[in-house]
Amino acid sequence: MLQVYDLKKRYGKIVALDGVSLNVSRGEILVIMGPSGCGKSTLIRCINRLTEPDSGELFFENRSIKDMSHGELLAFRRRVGFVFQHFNLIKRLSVKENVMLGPVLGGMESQDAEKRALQALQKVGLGHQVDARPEELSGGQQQRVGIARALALNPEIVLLDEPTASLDPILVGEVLDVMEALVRNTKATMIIVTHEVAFALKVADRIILMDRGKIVEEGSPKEVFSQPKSEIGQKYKRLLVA
Amino acid sequence: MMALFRDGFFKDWLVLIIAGVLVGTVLSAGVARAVDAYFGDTIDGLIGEYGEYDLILHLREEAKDAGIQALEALIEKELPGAHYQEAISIAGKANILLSLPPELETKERLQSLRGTLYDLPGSAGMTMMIEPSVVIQGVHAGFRNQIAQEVEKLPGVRFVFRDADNLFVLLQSVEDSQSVTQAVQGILSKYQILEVRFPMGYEVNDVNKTANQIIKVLQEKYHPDVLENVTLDNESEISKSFVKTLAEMKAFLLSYASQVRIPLTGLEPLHVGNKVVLQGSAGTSLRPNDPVEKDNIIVEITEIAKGEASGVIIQGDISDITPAMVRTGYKVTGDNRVGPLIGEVNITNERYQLVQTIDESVVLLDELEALAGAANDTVANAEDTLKTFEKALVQLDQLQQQISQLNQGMVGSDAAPGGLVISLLMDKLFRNLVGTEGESDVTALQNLDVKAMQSSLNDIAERINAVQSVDIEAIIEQIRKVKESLPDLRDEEIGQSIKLIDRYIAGEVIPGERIQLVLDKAAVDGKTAEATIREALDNQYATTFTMPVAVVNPDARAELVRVLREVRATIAGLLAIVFTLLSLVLDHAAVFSTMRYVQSQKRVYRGWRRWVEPVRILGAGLGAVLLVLIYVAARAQIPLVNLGHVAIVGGLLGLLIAAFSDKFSPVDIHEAMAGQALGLPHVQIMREIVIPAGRPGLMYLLNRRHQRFK
Repeated sequence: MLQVYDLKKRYGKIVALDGVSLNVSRGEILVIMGPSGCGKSTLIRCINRLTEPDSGELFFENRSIKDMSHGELLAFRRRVGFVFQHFNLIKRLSVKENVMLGPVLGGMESQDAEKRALQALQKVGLGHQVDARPEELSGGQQQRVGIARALALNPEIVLLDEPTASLDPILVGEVLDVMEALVRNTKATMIIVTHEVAFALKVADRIILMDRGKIVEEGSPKEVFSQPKSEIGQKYKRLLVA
Repeated sequence: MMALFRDGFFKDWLVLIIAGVLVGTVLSAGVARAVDAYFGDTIDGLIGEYGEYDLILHLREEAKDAGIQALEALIEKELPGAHYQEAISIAGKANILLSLPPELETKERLQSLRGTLYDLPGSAGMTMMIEPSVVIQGVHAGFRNQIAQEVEKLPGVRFVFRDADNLFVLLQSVEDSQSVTQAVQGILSKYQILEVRFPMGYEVNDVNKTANQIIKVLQEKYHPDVLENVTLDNESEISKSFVKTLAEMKAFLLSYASQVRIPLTGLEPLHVGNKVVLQGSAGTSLRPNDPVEKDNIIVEITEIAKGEASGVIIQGDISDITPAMVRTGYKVTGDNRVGPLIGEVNITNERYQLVQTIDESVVLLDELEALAGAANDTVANAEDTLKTFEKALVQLDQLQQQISQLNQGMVGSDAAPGGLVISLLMDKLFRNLVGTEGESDVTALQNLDVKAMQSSLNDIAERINAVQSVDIEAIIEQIRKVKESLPDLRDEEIGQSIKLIDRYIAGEVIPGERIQLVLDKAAVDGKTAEATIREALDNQYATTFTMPVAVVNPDARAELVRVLREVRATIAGLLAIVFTLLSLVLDHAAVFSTMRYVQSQKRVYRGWRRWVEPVRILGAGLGAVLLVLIYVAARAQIPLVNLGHVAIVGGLLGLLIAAFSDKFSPVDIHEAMAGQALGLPHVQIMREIVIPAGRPGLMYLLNRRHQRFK
């Protein structure tokens, strides 16, 4: 479904991606892990061109994402749900409006969009907070709204960029629960960037480990964490054991 | 960056720019017009509506009531139908607006008005503002009539009258103003005044002859249609007299001032204009590098001659110096400090001697009066004494005769010794009387010329009477008045006055003789004519000038209106700048910030390249366009500023705002990125996310109609 070939990206002298290549199958749950600054977020943002890669190729359903026109790119993004580390909610809109934003501006009737938004919010357990403003919610609740917003598009791919990284440890659990339920109940392909090893073990079909802009290991959770070949894999294994 | 405009936002932005220009124009021009209307109404309130009043009479405030009273009487007597209105007082002068009825608006009446009103109590001049009119200012007196005659023939002109040095061209109607102004300018531009000046000391013997000589040269060489001698002698004479008076005043002041003489010892060179400081009445003695104090005496050197410098005191007074004080002088440095030692300074002053002399004279006259009185008494006593003496002489003579007779009777008788004793006694008596040896008888006394003595006494008495007949009291009083009338000036005041006179005399431009000619420009230009005159004259000190015969100016109200118009245009210009700045900050800064964000996803400009990043270039261009459009549309005009300057200012404003747009109107990158991730086009990201969260400007208002989520 999604192919990435030799993707490269630099920020000045810093090499964020140094020739990353991967394939993602439809319906696959791919978890990307690695130390901070290894290029995980850059990789995931390059997929929907929130960050423009310097070189390399990206294909979605055999179509080059890099060569998409502006209109095609926008249409592609509407098929991709994105969940941000910092929630990225629109502060002036209510919870419901945040979730409705994509569908309404994508051309859906307001009523239909509202219905869909309410459904999405129900799925993430926020059916009772639809008129609240983002600043009235906890971090976990805000992130759940972010997830609902991504789901409201009925995406084929959901990209989650460290969804729990900004949350207090107490709140991480509620988001992970939602994500687990999401994994179970959705047919969408999911690419999740996370540090949550236990979560990755539980939900991932495949895990990719990155370090310094390169993929250093990939495989099933069992392969990666039981018999890691890479140094990063070793570290994660030690974490698990601890 | 241009991606922001590609998917429909460009239309929004264009509408914003057009709306901004319109609103900016309306605001700038509107406020400026409001200010203009306010000031215009104020002026109408001050000097009446157009054509309502014909002149402003200025009266000294303290004599206003008397002046108005006299004006009312004058109106009743000589200006029937005229009415007046008191206007505001400015700088101690009351202003009275006067309106004349149409029947009084004649050339003769208007020309005589100034003289008539001059006699009013408190009169401080007048300003003619009769409308509609064109004013020709600074008309050369020698050519005034010629100009007046030519102008009166112009269509649209009622008549021309003279007011002070100006010619007022009264028009048939206000519509004729422009055409008449142009025509008058045309007339004036035909002529020029050529002036030849001879400074004092280098005058010609016969000015008229020289003038004719110049005229002849110019006539032969250039054959002008108009060439006249319009030299005004009176003004030259008056100015010369004034300068001479000033020179005399200076001479008097110099004689009245303290004389300062400094022998040049060679310790420190002195030049004219240098200053020398003495201790004066200051408590501390002078030391080099000390600052000069106000109690010190300062002398300014005015002359160096024969090994001696002389000068005038410009700070302090000779009375500040006591005989015991040190009269050592030091040079004053450029930063007003005590400099090198100069040496002994000699200061004398004759005015104090004059005062002393006057005092002594008064004492003398008092004594003289008393002396005359005493002398008169003495003479009277002496006359009485002489009379008594004469009587005594007669009696003595008789006594002597009787004694002689008695002696003769006693000779040869027993009484002869007694006669001898009597003779001896008489001899002694006469000696005591007469006081000389040998003259012991009445004859000696009778030889005294009593008549002569009486005559002398009479002479003396007459002289004493003559002295007494003089009104010495009156003389004393007048002498005291002379003393009181002597200027009570300190040396520093005298010194400063002398400097002032010198400055005026030095800068005086009308000393000496001058010749003025009117010449038509068509025959020869001014510079060429000047060169011809200089060549013809054998006087290297003569200077030549060319100037216009007069200048056309609009009337007072039109001048005020013109000034107001400039003020209005300036205010509009300043408001245009303010509005452009506001528009850039409130509206366009958010657009620049978003552009920079979108640009940063592809490329980040670092180092010197930041200055040429597309956002800044766009900002500079937008600023220039905005400001120029508003400036032109509002008909703004700031003095000395042209459209190029305006564009530069607008460009700089735009560049500044674009460069710091993230500070003025930051974009929430998280929200914008969320919009991108949702697949929203930039126009929707702007409409739904960036603009509603931005500053409350015009763009915010215009965007409301686009928002799906309000």
